[in-house]
Amino acid sequence: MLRRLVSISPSSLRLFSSRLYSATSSSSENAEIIDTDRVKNDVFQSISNEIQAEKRHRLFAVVYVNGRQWKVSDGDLINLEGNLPLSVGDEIKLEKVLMVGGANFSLFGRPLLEPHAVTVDAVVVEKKTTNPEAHYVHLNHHQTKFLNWKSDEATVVRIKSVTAKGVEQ
Amino acid sequence: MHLSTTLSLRRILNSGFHPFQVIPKPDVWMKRERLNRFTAWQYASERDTVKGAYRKEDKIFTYLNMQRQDEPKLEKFHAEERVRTALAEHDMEYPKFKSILAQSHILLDNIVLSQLAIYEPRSFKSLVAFAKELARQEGMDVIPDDPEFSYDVHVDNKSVLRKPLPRAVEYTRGASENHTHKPRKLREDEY
Repeated sequence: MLRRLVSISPSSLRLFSSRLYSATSSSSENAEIIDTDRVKNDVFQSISNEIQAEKRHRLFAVVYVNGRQWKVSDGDLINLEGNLPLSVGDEIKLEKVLMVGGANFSLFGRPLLEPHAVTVDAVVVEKKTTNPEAHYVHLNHHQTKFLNWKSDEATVVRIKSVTAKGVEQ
Repeated sequence: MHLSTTLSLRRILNSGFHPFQVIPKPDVWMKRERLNRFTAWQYASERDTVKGAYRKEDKIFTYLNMQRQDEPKLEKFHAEERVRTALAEHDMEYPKFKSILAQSHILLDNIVLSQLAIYEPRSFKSLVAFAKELARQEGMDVIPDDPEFSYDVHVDNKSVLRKPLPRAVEYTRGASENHTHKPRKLREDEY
């Protein structure tokens, strides 16, 4: 069965599942720290192999854009609030990556991953106004009603790709 | 002689209308269309009568307004509920989990955590396992995972846990102080 290893480094937390380490089945009650450096190196190596393998897995990343965190993957559309200083067709790189994950591993930044390790490319697809929403005020007993239809500006961004390079050791 | 009343002269003076025909009123069609836009799908008097339809329309707009105001709060609330539920599945408690995440400087918010729990269960489970192990080392009461399915966690709380990062300041709308009560007068010795 798959065992998942958890290792830690000053900058980021690496979790990896692999068939290699299935020897011990320790509950968290009696878990011990066993040669953390060796385990860490093993985990880094495994993740690097995983990422560099020919058969590419689809990755997801959690990015911080425009005051909000988004979990994105290839081909996702995200709807950013406001008229951002971008024009349609601009290609941008989202560099505040909080975590990246794939089928067999998860990397958690503490708080961010190094910008060169993970690349999230995006294109600005559309600049638009959002659906109008009712802003309604009814003052009782005054025969007074205000109805305003508020709409906001939005910038739609498509995630082109989420890629990760090998993890440095 | 009071001719104005009998001849309706008041209607003739400075009027664009014919003196002796009924003054046309503005058509209600446009108003009814606007009303029916929201009430055409209602039932009974709320659809078939004007008065009922206006009452219903008022209600609909009030609900739309409430929905618009509550939406961002509801998003956060539901995200937290989902995270709590997901943690309950892994026998973990929300406050412990959040405090460990904060101390290890993992700044994922509840919205993303709930999405992880739903769509990336293995990542979420490994994160919970990580938090559990650290919580155990910190001396908190934690229910250990089932050894058959548990992950091997190799972490050390001394090297991982730090002081939590300062939280972002939220500037709420409105006055910063409550001015409904006047401040107490200073005593002489307090000057």
